[in-house]
Order: sequence, then C-alpha cells, then structure tokens
Amino acid sequence: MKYVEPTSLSEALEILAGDDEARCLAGGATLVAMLNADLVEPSTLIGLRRIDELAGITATGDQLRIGAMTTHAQIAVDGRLTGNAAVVRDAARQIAHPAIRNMGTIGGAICHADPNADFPGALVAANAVLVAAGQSGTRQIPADEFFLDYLETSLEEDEILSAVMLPVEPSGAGARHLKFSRTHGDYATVSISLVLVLDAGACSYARVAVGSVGPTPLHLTEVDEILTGSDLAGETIRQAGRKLMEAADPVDDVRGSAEYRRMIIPGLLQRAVDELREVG
Amino acid sequence: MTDKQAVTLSINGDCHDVLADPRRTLLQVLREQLSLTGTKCGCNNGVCGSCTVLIDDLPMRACLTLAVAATDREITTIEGLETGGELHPVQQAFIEYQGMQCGFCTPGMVIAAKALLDRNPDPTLDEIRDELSGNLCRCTGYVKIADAVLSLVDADRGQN
Amino acid sequence: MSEILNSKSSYCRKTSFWRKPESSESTRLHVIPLDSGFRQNDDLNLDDDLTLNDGLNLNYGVSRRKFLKQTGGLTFCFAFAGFFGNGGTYAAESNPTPGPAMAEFNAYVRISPDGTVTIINPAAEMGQGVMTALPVIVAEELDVEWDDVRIESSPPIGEVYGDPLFFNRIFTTSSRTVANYYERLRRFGRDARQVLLENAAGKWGVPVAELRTAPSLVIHDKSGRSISYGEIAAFAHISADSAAPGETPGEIGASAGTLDNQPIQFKARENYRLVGRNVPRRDLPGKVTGTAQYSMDARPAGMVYAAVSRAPVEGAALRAVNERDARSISGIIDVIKRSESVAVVATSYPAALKARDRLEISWHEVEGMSHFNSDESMQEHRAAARDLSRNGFPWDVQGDITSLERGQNALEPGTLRDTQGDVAAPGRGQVALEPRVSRDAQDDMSTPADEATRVCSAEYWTDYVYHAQMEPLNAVVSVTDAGKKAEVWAGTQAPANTVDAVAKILDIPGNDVKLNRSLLGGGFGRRTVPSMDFVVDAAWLSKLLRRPVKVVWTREDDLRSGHLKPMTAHFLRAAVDDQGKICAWQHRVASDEAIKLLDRPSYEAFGKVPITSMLGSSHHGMDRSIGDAYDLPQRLVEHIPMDTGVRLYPVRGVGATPNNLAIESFLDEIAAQRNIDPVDLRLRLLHKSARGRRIIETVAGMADWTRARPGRALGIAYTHYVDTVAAAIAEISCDHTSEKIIVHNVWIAADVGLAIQPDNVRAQLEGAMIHGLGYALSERVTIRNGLIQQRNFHDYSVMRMADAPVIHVELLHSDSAPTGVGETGSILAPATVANAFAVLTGKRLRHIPFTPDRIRQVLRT
Repeated sequence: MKYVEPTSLSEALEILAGDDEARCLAGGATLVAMLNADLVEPSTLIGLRRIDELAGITATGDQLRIGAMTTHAQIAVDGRLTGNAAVVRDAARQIAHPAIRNMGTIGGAICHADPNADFPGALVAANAVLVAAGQSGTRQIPADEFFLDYLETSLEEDEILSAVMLPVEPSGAGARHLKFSRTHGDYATVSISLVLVLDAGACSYARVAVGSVGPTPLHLTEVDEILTGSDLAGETIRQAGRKLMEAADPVDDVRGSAEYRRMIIPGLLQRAVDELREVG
Repeated sequence: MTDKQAVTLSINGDCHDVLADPRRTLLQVLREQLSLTGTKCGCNNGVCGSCTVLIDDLPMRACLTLAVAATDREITTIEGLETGGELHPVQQAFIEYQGMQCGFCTPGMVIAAKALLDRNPDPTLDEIRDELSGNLCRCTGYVKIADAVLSLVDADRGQN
Repeated sequence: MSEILNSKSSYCRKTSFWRKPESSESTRLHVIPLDSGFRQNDDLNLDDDLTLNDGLNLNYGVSRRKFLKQTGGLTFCFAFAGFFGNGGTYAAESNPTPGPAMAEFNAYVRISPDGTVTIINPAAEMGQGVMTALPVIVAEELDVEWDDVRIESSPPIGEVYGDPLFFNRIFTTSSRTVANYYERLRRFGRDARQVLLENAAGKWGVPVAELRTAPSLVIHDKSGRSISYGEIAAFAHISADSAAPGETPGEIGASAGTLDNQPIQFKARENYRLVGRNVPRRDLPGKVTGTAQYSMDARPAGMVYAAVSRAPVEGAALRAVNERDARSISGIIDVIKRSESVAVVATSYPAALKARDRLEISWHEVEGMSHFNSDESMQEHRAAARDLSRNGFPWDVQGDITSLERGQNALEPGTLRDTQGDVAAPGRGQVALEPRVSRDAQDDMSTPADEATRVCSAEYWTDYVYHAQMEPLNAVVSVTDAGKKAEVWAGTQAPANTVDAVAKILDIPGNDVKLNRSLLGGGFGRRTVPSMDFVVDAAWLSKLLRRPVKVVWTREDDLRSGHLKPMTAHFLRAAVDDQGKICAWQHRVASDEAIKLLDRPSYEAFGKVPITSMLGSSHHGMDRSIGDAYDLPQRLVEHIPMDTGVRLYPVRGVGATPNNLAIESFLDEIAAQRNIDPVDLRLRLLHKSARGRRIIETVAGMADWTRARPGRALGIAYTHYVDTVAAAIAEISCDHTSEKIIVHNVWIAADVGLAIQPDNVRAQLEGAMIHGLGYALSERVTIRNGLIQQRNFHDYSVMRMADAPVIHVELLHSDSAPTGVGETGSILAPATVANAFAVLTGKRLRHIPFTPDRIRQVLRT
C-alpha cells in the first residue's frame, strides 16, 4: 500500500481516477479500524488532511459550508451552527468520545454511511446538501438522496465528498438530535433528529429523521406534514410516532431488538418535541 | 505491497525518523519501533482508550492513526508528560488519589485527563465523567479517577 | 519436594528456613476425595477440620499433621495439578541472588548493611495493590522505616511463598490474598525483628528485654545506645531455626516466636504506623509514567511475533488449514500447526495478524457444540431448575449431612419433603403465592404453620459474561539450550500453573522453566487457568523456531477464547408465615460448574462438586456455624448440574453473583408480599449476627433509606463472603423513554476486619461494584453454533465513567483479621439494582443483564 498526501482537491481526484483500488483517508476513525481488521486493502491511500479546500466552516449567504475534513469536535463547538443547522452540531456533540471527535470528520463519517451513526439522520433533518467533487466538476446531492443503503452512498467511485451545505433557513428553528444508546458514547440504538419552528405554540415547520432503524435514515414527508401546522398535541405526536414506527425497518443486534427499536420511536419523538418546547 | 515509507515523527519534543509500512498505526510504531511502550493497546479498535495520545495537544487514538499521517504533528505520549524529572500534576494527582489499579488504562486515562484540564481548567464532575468516558477502566470504580482530576480543579481555583 | 530443595534457586539451596516434611504423605493430599460425596465418610468430621463449602473454604486452623491423623483412614491421592499447579517443580531465578553482604533473615526479609530492607511479595499484582499491602504487614511488625523498604517479587516456590488455602501454591485469586497471608507475614516480620533484637543484645551484652525498636533502629534506653537495622545486618547471626517457617501456616515462624519460652508479642494495634494508614502503593509511579512493565511490553532480543488461531470450542482438533494466502504476506517466518492451534510467526505483529486472518482453517466438530446456542441452553437451565422431580446435589441443608445423603439416594420425585422435612408444597410460576396445602409437610416444619403460611416461589437467570481484563492476554517465551530450558514473561495469577504448563508442553522439568512475573493488566480469574492457553503457544513456537516468541491475542481473540462465567437459572421457594417468618427455604441452582471442563483435575479432586457455582448460596458462616448468615433454619440449597461443553471458568464474583441476585431478590419479593420493609426483613433474618445487623443499619443510614425520592428508588443487598460482611444500596431511576436504568448512587458498608490499606479496600469495593453493575446492566456473551458472538468492546459493553454511579463507601473496622474484599461489590450489585427497580416500578427484573430490551418486556407485563 502506498500513502500519498495531495495538497489540492484536483490532485486528489486525479490520483483517485487513476487507481481503482485507491481509497481516501479522512480522520481515520473508521477506515484505520477497518485496515486494522484487514477488511479493506487499498493499493493507495490518499490522505486528505493537507487539502485546504476541504477544511473548515464558512458562512456563505443563506448557507453554511462545512468542509468535509472538519472534525466532529470542531462542528460541536462552532457557534454559527444555529437554528436549522444546530441539529448537526447537536449530533456532533454526541458522537462517541472526545478522542474520536478530535479525529473523525463529517466527510469520513457520512461517506461510510453507517446507519447507526449520528450524522446521517441529522443531515437529513437539516435538509443538508452534500457536494461531491469529481474531475468533471461538482454535483450537489440532497442528504435524502445521498444515503442509498447500508454503507452505500450515491457518491461515485471517482468522486470525493468536499463539503456539506447546511441551509440557515428556517432561521427561527429549534433543533434537537436525541440519541439513545446502551452505554455512553456508543452508537445509537435509536436516534431522532428534529427541526421545528414554533410560533406561539403552533408548529410552522417540522422535519424529522430517525437513525438506526433501517439501512438509511428514516424520513417521511407525511410525518413532517402531520406535525407542520399542528399545535403538537400529544395525540398528533403519537400519530407521527406511529407512522415512523410502522415505517421503520430495524434489525436485531447487540444494541437492541428490532421490536424494541421500533417501540421507543414515539417516546423519543415526544421527548425531542418537549425539549424543544422547553427551550423555545 | 509493503513498501515502507520514511516517516519523521515528532514525539515528546524529539524527532524520530522511522521507516514504516504505511499501514502501520502510530500505536504500532510507538510500541514496536520506538520502544515507547507506555501507550497501551486494549482493543485496537478505538473503543477502549488505552492508546490515547495527544496529537497537536488534542487527545486521539494512536490505534486509529496511521503513522504516515502523523508527520508534521506534535505527538505527546505518557512518556512525555514529565518535565525536568518532575511528574506532571495530573500524574501526581493520580498517584495521590490512587486513580488506578492494574494501570493498563492509566497512560491513556492520564493523557485524556491532561487534555481535558488543558482545554477546560475548571470542569464540573459531570464534565469530567463525560470527557473521560472514552477511556475504559475495568478495575476502578472511577470514583478515585474523578477525585484525582477534581483535586486539580480545586487547586487551580485556589491559585486564582 | 526434593526437586525444590535441589533447585537452582538461591532460596532453595538454603534449606534452613523451612523444614522438610516429616513424611511424604504431607506432600499429597489436602482435600477429601469426594467422588460420590464427602458425606459418605462418616469418620471424617467435616465441621471440625475441613469445610468444603462456601468456597474453597478449607479450614487451615488445624495443623497438617493433625489433619492427616484425623483423616488417615481415607485414601488421599490428590495433587492439585490443575487449580493449584502440581507443585514442586519450579526454577526461581527471577530475582537477583542476595549479595554476600545482605543478611537473609527469613524467606520474606533481607536486610543489607546500607539499611535497605527487602521484603518479598509473593502475590500477583494485578491492580489490587497487594505488592504493597503484603509487605506493609511485614514492615509493621518488623518496625522498619517504610522508605527503607524495597519490594521484590517472590520466585514461584509454592512451599515458601504459596497461599496456605491453596495448598501452598501461589494463587492470587478468590479475594483471599491479604486475608490468607496476613497471619504468616506478621509472624515473619515479628520474628525478623526478634532476630535483630537478639543480635543487638548479643553485641551490647544486654538482655533482649531491655531493648526496643524505633523504625529501623534498635534502641537500648538504659545506655542511650542505638543501632540501625543495616548495621546489625552487617554482623547478624541468623540461626536456621529463627529463619524457618513452621510446617503449617499456624506454626510458621513458631520456632522463633518465643522468648524465654514466652510467646513474642505482636505489636499492639494502637502502635501501628503503617497498617491502616494508606502507605503509598509502590506500583503507582511506574503506572502513571508508562514505565510499568507488563508482559505485553517484554521484548527480549531476537524476539518474533506470533498470532494464533485456537480451537473455537474446547476439544476441537485441527482438521485442515489452507495457508496459501497467509504465506503471501511479507514478513512471514512460518505457519506452524498443532492439534489445538495454528500459529503464524512473523517479524512484526501486524504481519503475523494479517497472515493469521488469511488462514482458512477448519476444525473437527465437538459433539453437540456446533449446535450449541446460549438462548436454547438457558431454556434448558430454566426447565432443570424448575423441575422438582430432578434431584439436585444438596449443597447446604440444615441438619445432618449424612442423613441428607441417605435421603438423597432414597429420593423419588415428589418425595423431597418426606426426607428433608423442610419444603412445603411447590408453588408454580413466578412469585406465586399459594395457600399452603400440605399438612404432612407442616408436621415437619420447625415452626408450626397456620392457615396463613404460604409458599412463594420465583425464578432468576444470569447470562454468560467474560473477564474483559484490559490487557489482552499475551506471553513471551524464550526456549534455549536445544529445547531444554525456557524463560517466560507472563502476567499470571498462578505462577505454578504457568511453569507447569510450559514444562509440560516442552517436556522438560519445571526446574528448567524460569518465570518472570510481570504486572498484570487485570486478571479477574482468567489468568489462573491450568492450560495457560495464552502462554503455551509461545513456548512450543519458541522451541521450534529457537528464538523468543511473543504471542499477543487481539481483543477479538481474547473474547473468542473467553472463559465464561456460567449462565445460571435459579428456582426458589419459601414457606412464609403471616408474620413474614421464613419457615422453609429451597434454592435450586441450575448451572454448569465453572472448573469442570477447564480445571478437570481440581474438579475431580473436589469430588466433582459444584464448588464455584454454589459460592454465596449457603446460609452459614465459614465455620459452618450461622456466623453472619441469615437465619433460615429449614433449608435445602441444591445444585442441578448442567453439561454444556462451553468454556467456563471462575470470573470475579463466581457463583456468588448469581446466587446473591437470587437470594436478595427473593427476599425483597417476600418482603413486598408481606409488607415488610426490606431492611427490616434483613435485620430480622440477621438476628443472630450483630455484625450483619450493624452493616445493614449502617448502609441504611448512609443512604437515608426511609427518605422518599421522587422518580428514584433504593434497593438493598447483603452478603457475607470470605468473612467480609457487606451490604450495598443502589439508587436508580429508569429513563421512561428508553427504559434504560440509570444508577445514581451506590452506598456500600463493609466490615473487613482489619483494613491493612483502607483506601485500597475502598478501591476494591468501588471497582468490584462497577464490575457488578456491568453484570447487572450490560455485560453479556451469547453463543451461537458453539461460537461466541461478541468481538470487542463495542459489543461487549463494560461500564463507562459517565454511566457509573457515585459510590460511597464506609468501612467498619473490627478486631478480627483482614477479610477478603476483591469480589464483594461484584456480588452485591445486580440485586441492589433489581430490588430498586421493583420499588420504582412494581415490576421484578429477573434476568441479568437488565438491558433496556428486557426492561421493556418486563414493564409491559
């Protein structure tokens, strides 16, 4: 295996295009674990850490641009991620433990597309758009369409995820990523990502995604619509929760049975709403 | 397949030139090539925290860091905490409060505690518990580890 | 024995300090042959001499001679080849030979003219602090300045440094180290001091009685003279007698223990300067600087690495290996096979691992194991526990053991009460309260039952768990001299077992195996196993390759080859009168015995009794009097043996954890049924134990037991285990969304006798509590098709700091000798949580770990 560290995105894309077995190394939190376990064997490893275009968070008009190499720790403390974008910051705060948050990057995490991870659901709830860079240019992929299956994304093999674009709107939104895990810092048994705009107790905007209950984040427009325009009464939330529960397709694993995962969705939704109401 | 690459690592203030397979983790290079065996391997999976080192002053997992990707960064291991033969206050506090038993997790725990206090000299008990949760300890009740870290918080307050 | 005398050891060359046994018999048996139950040996008075009960509880107050005399009619042929090593063959050069100028006062004390006092620590330091605690005991009686003390690890010579309880093998386990070495070490310290006094007296020509010691000094007040221990060491004459331990623990040092035929006094406790004062642990500085040496850190010159695949189930033999892919990995030296394991040796560990993972290995099936599933096995355990027609092994019965044995043989299904006289009609189902129906059973009850007496019953279950010591198992072995000698670096709780296992696989005498005793990155029982499965591979590989070999298990290897704490199912019944008095008690424990498969010699030597399974199940003290046990005068505690073929082994808390869960949960269920406060019920049951009541009252006070706390609840549990009396109360809440239990506070009160190092005792109680809360809440191994399903800490979940409660410990000191504390917390934890949960929700959790999934199911019923 060869290790290279290009200093520009175009250089990295060129190496990637020229080598079918090349893989990109972001923070390493997942890929190095896979290397250690001999699960991957790239011919070339492209270290992305020296590419400035992938670094940092910038505000661009009505969007926040998070470079793919931005670490969870950096996202967790960035005060610009408010309103709608706060759901991503809330998720970043809850990923694993400090040492992992210092290493792991948002780009690496979402390209791995582990449905038990925190970012996928949060990005769907935040209506994020993911920027894929290829040699022929970039394309923008809504988070909803990015996650295709377990560990599978719509990124092409010769593309590199360069940034995550988070809309600032709706600006008055409150956001919560609520995660339940067996032990502190573990992957979520179930997580819920919720963005709400509350107007005098009524809900004028809602977007909710559930993680760890299927191969990709669970997002139902129908549920957003049930909540939007309602006063978020208990029965409304129960109805939304039931819809999510019915659509969920979790698996049995060491973190919890499929049934258990399904059953706690409504309660998590209720709690997320309650917590946002308290703040709001 | 196993083309080794020259890697220069800055560890505890010293530069080390090593020839390493790019697949080698920093943990492997520390322990096997540089004989810095204070950093421990408990899971090789990033989960247990025994291999926690500072990279540019931030705690990270040496088992999830490739040595080749650690060049031009300042690495601090447990062996680098003493200055002028004096133990670091965190090390002293861990001894004083008996914040360890078998000691296998201790280098990682001490590093994580130092990083926490460097960033936040005045953490609450809950913050300490949250921040150190990435480091598994199978022996202690965690009580004495928290006490050790809290003792430094109090000391700082006293100075202020 | 003669091998020891002839061994290379500097200790052993000098035969003066211990006497050769009088007869060869004394080297053999130390326990009763039990193959059909010790109850048959009517001529053996168990109660007096040797209690094979409540765990390795062999009363050593009796001298070996006396014991042999009393039991002479039996055929004793017992070499603890497994549990305790076969004894006798060790090399011992792991420590430097004392220099000529250094005076060896006895096996535990050397003093050099520069004043350095070397104290030998016999036990394995695995975090519990014994490498300091044991020398402190010596140093106190020796009256030495602690700063003058140097601590040295003992060679693995069992006869000199072994634990009396374990037949003079070094066997650091079972919460016993400080308790079991205490008496011996204080005598050695005292006697060495006496030698110093005698030598000073001789030099000055004054009576010994006019001398006293101050730390590291002998002082003659009349003349104002003083002399340091080091100065005395330069000229000291040490007689063979004064350096000789007695032949039994009770007599160790006895020859030097008299002065003018008056026994030499021990130091009065009020004069202690070290014991009870938290002497700083000597192992800590190296641990915070990273210089502490574990076997993981050993790197002898020329060392190569091996990664090993071991048989996935016990007894599986290698069938075939396809090694083509593995051999393509650069750095590979060789792929080497034997029946039990396949190893890849390479110049680096990553290369060895990578190649190992590319081996395609098939193993022969072990009958039944390829279909073994833990979930199904649990159903079988449960059915066995419930099936009263299936007679168990009667472990603890009130009354005459011999009559019970006759009864057992005569028993037919359903006739239990006729011979036991203490079990009323069975209740079915969980916590069923049924009218007492059986008049004839009532006739046998000690307390006349009335119409209000009822029988209640309940079940509890525990899953497999794994040791999860933080240092994955590993060892380095260097075989030299054409295969005739070996040097071993290993963290071991049982040095004799390690030496024996290496000697056996190399087919050389144990004398030719040199063991370097490393610090242990945790043990919890795993590192006693006679097979020394984590050591022997390095030995045979080193022999073949003629260079040092380090075998390191990955965490995945460590889990895959996990030696599990047995799963258990418990069925309990009690007849309870309307006052809440328990008139009869039956506790059936279905489990596979933890030493049955992997320590067969010990298992057979113990007479195939469920020795570790039933720890903590008996309702009597270590001497068979009621002691600090609950007063349950009519009782039958029995074991229903299960045969699983799973690799099982004692894990911290052993059978006492599940048994405590069952007993303490059941008591709370009874208390709830009869509207009795759980604390009150326990105080009533402990009416014969002031020590027990004091602990219950103390812990209740600590937790402010009667104070209501909205959203939270308290649960209590009590144990008397290896003479420690302890109780804990957990304060929990349950997250109503996720149904995850949160433990906020735990209060522990423990009477540990004399606490040598009180902070260390607290550390043990706290650490074991966290360990036990792991058992209670998250730790679980499952097996499918014979294979352990968990792989690493991501799916074998031990407690992390943020999930840990605040733990409050209060030690109650008493005048008795130190008692064992290494497991107490791990025993109490699950029941405290279960009992608190019942108060909080009205629902009973019966199956540890109490995962959110299980909690949810219970709450829905």
